[in-house]
Amino acid sequence: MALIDKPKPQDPEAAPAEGISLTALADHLGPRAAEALFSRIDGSSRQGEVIIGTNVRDARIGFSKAQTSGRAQFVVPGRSNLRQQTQTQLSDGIVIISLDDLEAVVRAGQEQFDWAAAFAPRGGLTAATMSPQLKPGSRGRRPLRV
Amino acid sequence: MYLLDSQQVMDLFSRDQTRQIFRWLNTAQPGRTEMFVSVLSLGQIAGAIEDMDAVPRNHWRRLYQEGRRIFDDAGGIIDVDGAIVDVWQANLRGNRLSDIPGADDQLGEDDRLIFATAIARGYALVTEASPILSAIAQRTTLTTIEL
Repeated sequence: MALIDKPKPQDPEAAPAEGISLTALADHLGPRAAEALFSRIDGSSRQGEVIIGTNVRDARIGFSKAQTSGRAQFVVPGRSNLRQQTQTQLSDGIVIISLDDLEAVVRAGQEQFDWAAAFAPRGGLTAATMSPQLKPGSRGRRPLRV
Repeated sequence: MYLLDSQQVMDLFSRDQTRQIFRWLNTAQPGRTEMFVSVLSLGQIAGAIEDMDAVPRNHWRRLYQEGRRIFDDAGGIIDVDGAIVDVWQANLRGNRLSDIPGADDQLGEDDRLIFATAIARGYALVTEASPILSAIAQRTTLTTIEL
């Protein structure tokens, strides 16, 4: 007779936090911007790689905090104080973030592009050894009647 | 944001990595959406290519087409619009630069429209050092990066 392990009761401290995961954030913003935003969410709202969204009432209290760099607030509307009772919907989320932090997130989300590499010589398209001579445009003056 | 002057666009299109523009790119590392060319610069370069001998002309046509495509894909080609014309007519057109030595002789209206593009968009013009451009920068909001 096979023994079947009974499911062990979960330790509340070890249970995965319910909230907005970095992976879910990356699905919306792309990995680089998601990481940049995640790192700028106020530390007290993060558990591991999960953001525990703030409800609207708490966000009002945290508004001044959000003005500080790296202390952005992720607010989930329609959520009670009892976090475990409601499902977190990332797409309903609102972020209160300083402009400096927003700029950093946007910049992080921009595609990396190396102009020098884009214009490097390659097979079938070698570098030019000479260049055409740019010539000044005509400076003719056509009189206009007033 | 940067606007490349015509010579710098041509140096980039040449793919000759010894040219100054490549050293600047490696230092400044502009993002894909941070570097622009005027459609007028492309016209100037296309015209110059057609004056070349047949063999280098064919090579340069390909360099030009590839270079233009890269900027096109990046949304980096700027047309002449009303804001640019406003800056041009108010500051640069015709005899407005006649008090700057050499300006009337050396700058066509197409060159002036390129400078007006940088001013109207608020982009830094990546160009080579020139006393004429320095004088224009003193009387307008033009900013330059001299290579």
